[in-house]
Amino acid sequence: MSEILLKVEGVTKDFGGLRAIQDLEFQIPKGKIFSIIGPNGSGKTTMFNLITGFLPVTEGEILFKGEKITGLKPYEISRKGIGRTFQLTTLFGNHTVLQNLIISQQATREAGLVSSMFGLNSARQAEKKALKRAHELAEFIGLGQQKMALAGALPQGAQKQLSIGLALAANPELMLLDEPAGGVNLEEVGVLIDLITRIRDSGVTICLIEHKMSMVMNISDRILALNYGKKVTEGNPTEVGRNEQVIKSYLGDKYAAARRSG
Amino acid sequence: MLNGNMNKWIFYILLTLFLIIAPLIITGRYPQHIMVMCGIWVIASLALNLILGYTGQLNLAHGTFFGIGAYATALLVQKAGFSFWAALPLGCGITAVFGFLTGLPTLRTKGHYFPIATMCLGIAIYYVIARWEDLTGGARGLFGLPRPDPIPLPFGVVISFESTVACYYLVLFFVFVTILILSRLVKSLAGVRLLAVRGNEDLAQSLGINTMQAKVLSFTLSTLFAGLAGGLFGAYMGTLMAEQAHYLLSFELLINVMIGGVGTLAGPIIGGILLPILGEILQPLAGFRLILYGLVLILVIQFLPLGIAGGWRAAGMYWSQRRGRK
Repeated sequence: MSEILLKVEGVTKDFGGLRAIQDLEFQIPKGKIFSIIGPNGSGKTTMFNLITGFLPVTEGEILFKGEKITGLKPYEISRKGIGRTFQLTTLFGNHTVLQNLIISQQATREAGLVSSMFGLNSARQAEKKALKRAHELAEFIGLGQQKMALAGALPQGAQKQLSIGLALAANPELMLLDEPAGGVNLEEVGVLIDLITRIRDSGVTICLIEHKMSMVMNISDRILALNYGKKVTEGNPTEVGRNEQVIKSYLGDKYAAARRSG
Repeated sequence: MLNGNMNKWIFYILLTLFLIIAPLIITGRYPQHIMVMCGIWVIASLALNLILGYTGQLNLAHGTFFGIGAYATALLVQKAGFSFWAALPLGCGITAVFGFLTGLPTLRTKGHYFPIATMCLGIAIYYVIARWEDLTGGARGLFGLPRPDPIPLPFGVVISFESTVACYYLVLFFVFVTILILSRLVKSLAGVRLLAVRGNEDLAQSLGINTMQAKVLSFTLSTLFAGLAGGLFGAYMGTLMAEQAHYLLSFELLINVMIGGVGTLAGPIIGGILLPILGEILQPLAGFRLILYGLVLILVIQFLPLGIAGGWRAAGMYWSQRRGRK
């Protein structure tokens, strides 16, 4: 097995009396597409919020590149190299695609206040670089034609592409994508699959939550199946697709029937 | 694109020239007094726009920081014997320290709690100023504040600030400084970071932006410029009353920014000039004036969410599109 980027060790999360995640353990290998599947309420998004520091863990530890990240603030975890998208597509809706891609860059979070206020050369150089990179990112995510469009006015698929672009602009080593293909039509799913694989091929590790099984089975290198906050099984797509419990609790009998006949 | 930029620059240069020669055209003392006041409100409104328009935090204590700057500068001159030129930056600094210390707890709150917290703060500080007789003169206020000390130049020339026109140029200078610094800031990457906070704090955090730090910096800077406007106000007027730290002043500045155009560069300038003039014209209406303001504010929020500046831009885009079609 290849190098491990993220390690989740015995993590438990309680919401009051409800145990959303129970003693969960898994590892995300570097350079792969790792997917988390499971029925609604099985704790997938909660797991993302725990990794990115938006929620505190009740018990257990999360290690990124061997370093403990539990207890850090979301922006600190992002700076360590973990980017994310949100289940409800989240963008800077009142700004253009290009502005969105400038806002999200590492240079923006690091820009000095004083040098910016007085328009020092260092600030102007950083702005030029950020603008250039925003153009490149817009092309990379396939929105080269819509650079000047308002993000909030883009069609659903393009908004999903842009939200991935925002996370990518911050230079992450690991990207957590929460239902990147939710509410998107079939044609647009193809665009997103292509984008996600291109990001993986550029060396960024991907962790994916997705309900569209065709997409998950198609692009994942490894899949973790959850139910009621517990691990059902983990393995490559073929192994997980064969697991009786996964089929019963998640994929449904139809999928099992199709598998048997196909 | 180049053409548009050229036109813009020509407009800016003409406007600057007009503002410089304006006291030669508008010679009455009363209109000149209004012009000085407009300059001071423009600085205060620009400062409010930084935290409200660009960072998305509705600060309802902005007038209070104006008052703190005014009292701090005046007391340094009157009671501590500082020169105005030392007292003004110190006064701004004191205001900014107040801003920083009050920003730390209040900016942690989310949603409507920040406006509520700042409004309570504003009311509390107003009463401190109005009741602390030994320091602030209480309800009587401070009297006989000197105008800024004259600036000696080589060859025996002295710039004195006794005349209204001289004060106009002094305020105009600080208006330009404020515009240059704040317009530069909001276009920079550090300014873009503020826009991220306004847009969506969770998203900004997920992108590695320390949103709390960005908010505190923006708030501190905003109060610093509010203090600058206050310091100039005291030296120009010669008297200070507790009203200068009243929370109603916060709402007046808020109206300037809202009607001018929140989150636009020109908005607070337009609002800071237009509303004080309108206020003077409508003086005979007394209290009814406020009803009119309320009505105008409702109409602006309903139909021009980005105020006059936003409406102007939208109209420009509409006409250029129409021309494009022909």
